[in-house]
Amino acid sequence: MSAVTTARPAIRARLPHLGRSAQVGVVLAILLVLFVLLENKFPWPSGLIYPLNKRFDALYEWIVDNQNSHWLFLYFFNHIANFLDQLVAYLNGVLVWLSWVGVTAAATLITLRWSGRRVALLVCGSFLSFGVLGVWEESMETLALMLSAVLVSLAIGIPAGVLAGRSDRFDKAITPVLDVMQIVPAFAYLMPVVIFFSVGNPAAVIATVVYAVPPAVRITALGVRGVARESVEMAESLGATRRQVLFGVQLPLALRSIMLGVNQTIMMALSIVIIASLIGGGGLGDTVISALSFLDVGLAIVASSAIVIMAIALDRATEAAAARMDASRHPEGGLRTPRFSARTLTAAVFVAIAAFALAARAFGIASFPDTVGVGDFIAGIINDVITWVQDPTKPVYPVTSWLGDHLVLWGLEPLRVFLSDSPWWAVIGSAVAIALIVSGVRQMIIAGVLLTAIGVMGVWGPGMDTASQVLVSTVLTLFFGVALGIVAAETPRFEQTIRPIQDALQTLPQIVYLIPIVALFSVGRVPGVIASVLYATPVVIRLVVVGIKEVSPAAVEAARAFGASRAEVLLKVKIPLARPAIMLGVNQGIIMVLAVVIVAGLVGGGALGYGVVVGLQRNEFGDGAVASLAILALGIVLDRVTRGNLQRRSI
Amino acid sequence: MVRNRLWMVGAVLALVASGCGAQQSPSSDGGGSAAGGGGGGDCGDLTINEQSWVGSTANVYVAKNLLENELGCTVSITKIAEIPVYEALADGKVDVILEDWQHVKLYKKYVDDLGKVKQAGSLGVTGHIGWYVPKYLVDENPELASWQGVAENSELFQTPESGDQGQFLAGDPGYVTNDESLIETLGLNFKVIYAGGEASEIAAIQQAYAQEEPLLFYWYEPQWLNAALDFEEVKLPKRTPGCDADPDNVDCAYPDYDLRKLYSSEFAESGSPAVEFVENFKWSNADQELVSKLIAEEKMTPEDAAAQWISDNKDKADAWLEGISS
Repeated sequence: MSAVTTARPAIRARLPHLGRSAQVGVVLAILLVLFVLLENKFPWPSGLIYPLNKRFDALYEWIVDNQNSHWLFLYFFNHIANFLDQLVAYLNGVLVWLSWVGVTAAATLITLRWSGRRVALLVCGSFLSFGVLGVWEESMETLALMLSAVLVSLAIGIPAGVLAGRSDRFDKAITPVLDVMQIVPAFAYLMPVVIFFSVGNPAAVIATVVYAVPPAVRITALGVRGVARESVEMAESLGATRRQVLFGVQLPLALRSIMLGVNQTIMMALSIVIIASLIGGGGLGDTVISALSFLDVGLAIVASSAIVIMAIALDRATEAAAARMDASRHPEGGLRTPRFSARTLTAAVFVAIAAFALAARAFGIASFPDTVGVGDFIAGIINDVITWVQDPTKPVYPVTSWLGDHLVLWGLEPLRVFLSDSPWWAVIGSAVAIALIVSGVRQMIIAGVLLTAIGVMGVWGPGMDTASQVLVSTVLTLFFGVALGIVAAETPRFEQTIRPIQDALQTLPQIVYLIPIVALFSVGRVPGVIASVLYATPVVIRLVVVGIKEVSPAAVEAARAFGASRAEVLLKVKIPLARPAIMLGVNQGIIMVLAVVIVAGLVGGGALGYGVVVGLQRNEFGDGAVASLAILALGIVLDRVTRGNLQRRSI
Repeated sequence: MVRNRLWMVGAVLALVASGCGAQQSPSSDGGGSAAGGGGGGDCGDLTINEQSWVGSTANVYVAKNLLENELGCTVSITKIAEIPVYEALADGKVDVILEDWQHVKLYKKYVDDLGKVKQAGSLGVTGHIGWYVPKYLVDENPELASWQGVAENSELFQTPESGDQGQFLAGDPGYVTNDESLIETLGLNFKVIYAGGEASEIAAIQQAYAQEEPLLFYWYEPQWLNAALDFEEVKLPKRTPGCDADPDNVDCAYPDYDLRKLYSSEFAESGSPAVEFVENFKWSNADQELVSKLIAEEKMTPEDAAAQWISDNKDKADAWLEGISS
């Protein structure tokens, strides 16, 4: 802790003179000096380690011994598990009964009714493509699982969001909980979920819900808060009760936000389909995982593209539905259908769906026509491309292996050594100092406590290893994200071209492309870094584009009037003014990178991710739980250190 | 407001319309438990877990083919990881696993103490784990065929990831390994780098072969890749009684594993003809590798590969079915 006391007065004294980045530079310089002088002299002291993993192991033993006798399991966890199991089975049953004809008709008609013609066409094509790719049944299993998770998430999230929207105190209490749920990589809480709910659909639903609830709560709260004061006051002045205000004014007016919450919840749920299948989730995740175990990357990509297609279809459908709800509030939106009432139309939609399903059964076309080979054909092409790319005699491999080797030699390894061989107190001291400079006193305390906790749990070394991987990945992500973001903001055509690529990179499960990356960059930490850069860059691009586009036209006009060139406007006006958005990108980028560096524990990334994998695969529950907690701590530390004075992280 | 209610009316309508059908449809995966009641003859549903290596896929699909076509069972497949699957066996989410690499600690807990899982006999396949190097390496450097030779040439195996030590490529962290302990006890200058899974380890091995680079790796048989690439096993010190009793102090080769079949106690007592089939199911390393190779190298679907093996080996398949009334 002495670094805190030595470093802080120096910084305080300089505060008025130095800019923030210069102060951070000073802190890092001090750390570097301490590293050179005291390398390896102060490893985390063994006296400061609390054997938390042993505690968890004892707890695990107790749970395994008691799960059939203790009331907590008999009357609580088991009931939840049974309920979820039946919910998934029921929804799956409904989808099977509807058959592909009924499901496609349902998806198309529902989007036609609530989202519009163009989206309906997209949705129709998307659903048919599941069948054409030969993964209809798996897609429906995934859909059933996802719908269950979304229903549960909304059942929890919307009421909680309404409460948070109406009560400041509840909002304050729940915000840190939501932060935690969003920061912890899903991989980290698989073990606890398995312990309490066993494996299978219930566990998969729970793991998904934990991940998908926060956006539902946040957006609903935002929506309820966003309802204009005057509307509420007017209703109150007319004598409406609190309940009437809620159901008559606030909820209907917040409907659009709530719909957007549904949209985000669906996206989140789809993005952990693969991870959920590691604990018995089934569906497309299973197809992807077994294809990978046969090294059939082509098939894995075909199966995961079904996930991507499902995500894009549901995203556009819910987005359009939300936009329409907005329009239908204003009479000039012109969406009122004068001839038929809304009720008749809705009823017609559902009658038509049932009719389609019954007709499909009657005519015996309930199973999707065998489109032999379309999926295989595409998978074959993908496999050929991958084989070519991986071939060491072709021009790709020499470049990638050189890059990979040097990323380790010049980036990952030196940084790991720097962080784990510096005196531990100096590392904590500098992190605390940087948190103070960038984000203020409260965040400083949180960062200091949690970083110390990582050491106390006995995983200081792996923790610093993971931190070094996250930092290297973040630097790369920001480099590409900011550069591409600026180009995209300036050239709309470029932005349109990369949008689908961004969508795909964000929803495509990382595990799918880790294997070609392993072949190209060799086993170790690099594959994880590459995968996380691919995953996080789209978000940074998006935030940078939004930031630059929102720079007020007046400022730009003024600069032009003074004869600034396009480059000057960009560098001197737009980018400085877009800084808050870019900082948000840094923050979001780090969190997303962390989530994937952990998944890379599966392919030799080592460190904390490896700890979680071992915990899951080798039954070392205590070690796995400690690694999960350390990831959580590291995530919060990185979030707090980089958060700056942002009011609230975006969804 | 109005719209909310309409959603519900519509949803209820649709659910009512489909509810009756839903009940008749086969229950979703994961929930499939053993044949209800235990009346003999009727096979019913059963769930087999497929593990993350291709050999396991071969077992599962050959068994599934025969169970469904010859005994009229409905087989669902789950893909739960190697350890959590014990929990699934214990609470009946999974009925059978066909290839277990002797997780002795878990046997004690789930088989002996809790009694929820039972041994279903040997799979007939012998598992072997060892250290391997490519044959081209031994052709150049014959001393690399033993651990002493490998120990003296650790610099040959250096990579950026392993620094100034040699790299030892390990597989899935979930697999049974003594590698770290062996390296320490034998005093080798090697660092263990986990590939993380069979697929990524194969990708790394294939890449080394394509470039004829040195590589020392954890490997095992039966494995289809053994037929496709020439491996040379590195001789480790001979086994002596108790040499691997202390997991932190192992100084000898891995034992051979008699791979086991396990089923849940509930399933074992269900009286389904599938129980007897699972007990009879037994084949050789060569048989399993044949099917694995069709799947992994020739990219056949597991269903087709299993069907092909069965039609080529009618006698073996019939032996498993003998005496079972379906």
